[in-house]
Amino acid sequence: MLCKHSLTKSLIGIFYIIMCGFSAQGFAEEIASPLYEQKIKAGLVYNLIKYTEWPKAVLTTPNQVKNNYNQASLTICLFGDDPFDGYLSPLEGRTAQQAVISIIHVNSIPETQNCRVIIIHRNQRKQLPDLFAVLQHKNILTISDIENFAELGGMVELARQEEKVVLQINKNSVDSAKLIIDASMLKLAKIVPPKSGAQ
Amino acid sequence: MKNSPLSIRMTLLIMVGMLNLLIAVLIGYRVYKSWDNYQQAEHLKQGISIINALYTANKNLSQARASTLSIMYSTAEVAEPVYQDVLKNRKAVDAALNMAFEGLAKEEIHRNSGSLDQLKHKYDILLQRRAQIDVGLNLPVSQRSRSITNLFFEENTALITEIQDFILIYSRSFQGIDSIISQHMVFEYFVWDLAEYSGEEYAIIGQMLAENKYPTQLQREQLSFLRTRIEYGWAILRKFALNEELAEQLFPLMEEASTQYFFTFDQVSELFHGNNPVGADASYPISSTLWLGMSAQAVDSLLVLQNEILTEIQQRANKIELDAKSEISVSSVIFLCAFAISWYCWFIIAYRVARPVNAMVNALYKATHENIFEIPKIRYQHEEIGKLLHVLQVFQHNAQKMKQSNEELERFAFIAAHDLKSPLRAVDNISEWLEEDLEEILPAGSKIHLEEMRKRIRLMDKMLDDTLEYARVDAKIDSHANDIVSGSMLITEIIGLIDLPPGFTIITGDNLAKLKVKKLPLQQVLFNLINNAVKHHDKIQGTVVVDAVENTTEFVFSVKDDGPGIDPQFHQKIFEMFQTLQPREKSKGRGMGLAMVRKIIIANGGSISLESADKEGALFRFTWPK
Repeated sequence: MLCKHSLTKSLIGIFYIIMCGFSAQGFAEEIASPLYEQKIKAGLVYNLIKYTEWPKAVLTTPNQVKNNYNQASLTICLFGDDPFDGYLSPLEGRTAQQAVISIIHVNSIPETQNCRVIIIHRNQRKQLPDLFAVLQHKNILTISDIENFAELGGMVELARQEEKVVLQINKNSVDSAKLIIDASMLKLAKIVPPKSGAQ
Repeated sequence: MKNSPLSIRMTLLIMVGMLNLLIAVLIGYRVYKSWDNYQQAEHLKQGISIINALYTANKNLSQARASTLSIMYSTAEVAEPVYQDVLKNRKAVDAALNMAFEGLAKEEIHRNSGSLDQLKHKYDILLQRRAQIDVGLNLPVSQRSRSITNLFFEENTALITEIQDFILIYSRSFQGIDSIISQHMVFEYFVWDLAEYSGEEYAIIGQMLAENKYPTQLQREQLSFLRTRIEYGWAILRKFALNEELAEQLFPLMEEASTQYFFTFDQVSELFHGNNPVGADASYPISSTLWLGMSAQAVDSLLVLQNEILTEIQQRANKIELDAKSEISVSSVIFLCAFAISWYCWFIIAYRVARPVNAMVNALYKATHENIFEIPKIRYQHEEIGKLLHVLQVFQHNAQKMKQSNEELERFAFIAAHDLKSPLRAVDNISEWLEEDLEEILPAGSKIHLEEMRKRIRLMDKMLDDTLEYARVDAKIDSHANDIVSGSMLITEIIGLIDLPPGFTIITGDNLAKLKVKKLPLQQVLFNLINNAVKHHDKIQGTVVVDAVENTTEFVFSVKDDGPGIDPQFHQKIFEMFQTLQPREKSKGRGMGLAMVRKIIIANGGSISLESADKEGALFRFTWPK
């Protein structure tokens, strides 16, 4: 798995050299940096899930399939491509808040019905307004590394600031979805106000 | 009346007393055990609160360590919010340690005083180092002392380790109380072990992130060592969490903690552990603040697990305490009930059984031995003892009537015999006068008839004498006039009274010869029996053997002859008054000897028996109380 991803990353690196003409040193940094960045972001996603509180009814709907320990399921939907290149996949089958995590890929807004968390790829930026309109008041956590995601009405933006990963959270969006993000998590994030006109 | 040394009353009371004692011991032991359990539970609860405080101190020490390392290499602007957290951690450490020290001071005997002193000493050192750190923070980053920072890390870690060691030793004293608590404490210890190694790891990484440098050789070694310990710690934790009693409750929590650790530390480990140039400048894609937050959360997940176990231990201790309390209450109630029932039994036996039985026994004794007829006062007359009293009353009434009747009969016999003797003597005299007056004209046949009449009169006179003597048998013998003689002397005197025909021998047995007995009325009994044997003997020569055996309470005398013997069908008849085996005319006696013998023996509290067959001699055996 790791080899496959390394290969993919190498190809992306070559593409960048050809297209952008980066120096050799720049190439090495760009290869190394996104790799760790994505892992760090994947780690942040798990922490975000763990420290987010859904309304009780959401994680304990009666028809949910439960495992031996009577645990409900928690579905993470990857909208568009996987922004973390598979680094999130070890979460499959693990638990957060005693609910079993499942990861699915969705390509259209109607498919997001059963998601508890939606991670949106950069290539879905254009669909954001429609997506936010559909998700309004639904108890679904939205996460993305799209630039200005939080300002546009998303909930958690995994942004980059001075070459370092930072968290930006739109508290209004989180509140309107009736989700509660733990104070210890909020403390690590920059709370951003929504742009006027955005949700 | 003399009571036996262990009367029925005493026996019953002693038995009830012993039963009481047994119940008291059994229930008392139960109460003692419950009290012991209660004290252990109290001790356990106190211990748990101390352990909780120590773990809280360790958690905050660990967070303060990582944060301090980070801020020592950060600019004042970046360091300020983290420093506020450090201050909070320090405050929490101080409060938790002071609480633990106060709790430990309350314990009278503290077996870990050595390690406690060590712990306090390391805490004092850390307090001094904190002050140096605070001074250093006021300087520009470049002027801050790296050695002080390193010392702080070491001393902070040393204190954490010391606390952990102290907990390990301290918690040993609780492990015998309950196996589940013991198991939980061991698990808790391993969780903390893992949390501490993770804490050290994130502190070192935090420093690297703050410095923006790849790890030095020392840091690499430290990280490598910690990684090994952490992996080992997770392996142990998984094994423990799969334990049946812990699995359902702890396994899901452990899985989450494990996932969080993996995503926070493992996924990025290459960033810090890879083959990067030693100590060179680096540009990490994560800020030290975000890292500290994330890794603190990951360690917190482990501590959630630990808190869960602590809560479980606390609940278990509360349950033990509650069980012990209810056990004490139940045991005390049982003890009081048993005591009340035992006392009631004692009262019933003493006042409603033993006392009335004793009173009735006394009454019976007085009635039979002293002819005093008294009815004891008994309160509960409707009960069995009361019914027995009614029987006693009937018995006493009958006995009293019988005694009166016997006395009247004897008085009657005496009076009759005495009063009949005068007219009989008059008839005898008149018959003599008639014979003298009519001597010349009285035909020879009439003379013979008169003679026969006088013979009958003399016989009747003798019989009246015998009746008088028989009636007097009960008359008391003056004890002062009653000599104590030896058996041989007694028999010699008897032989002197008997007109012993030649050819007859009286043999005194050796046992009898040595005995010392009261002379009267035994002499009369033996005289009658020996005289009877000689008088009714059917041969010219004969032997009578007299002997005795001494028991604890009585003598058993025997008189054996080699005479004609007595047919068994007459064995009862011979003891009746005026009963002879031959017609009265032919009989050598008047049939009163054996009747007198039996009456005297019975009147003195003995009994008589006869062993004999026709023509085989006779053996009279009688008992004589001492």
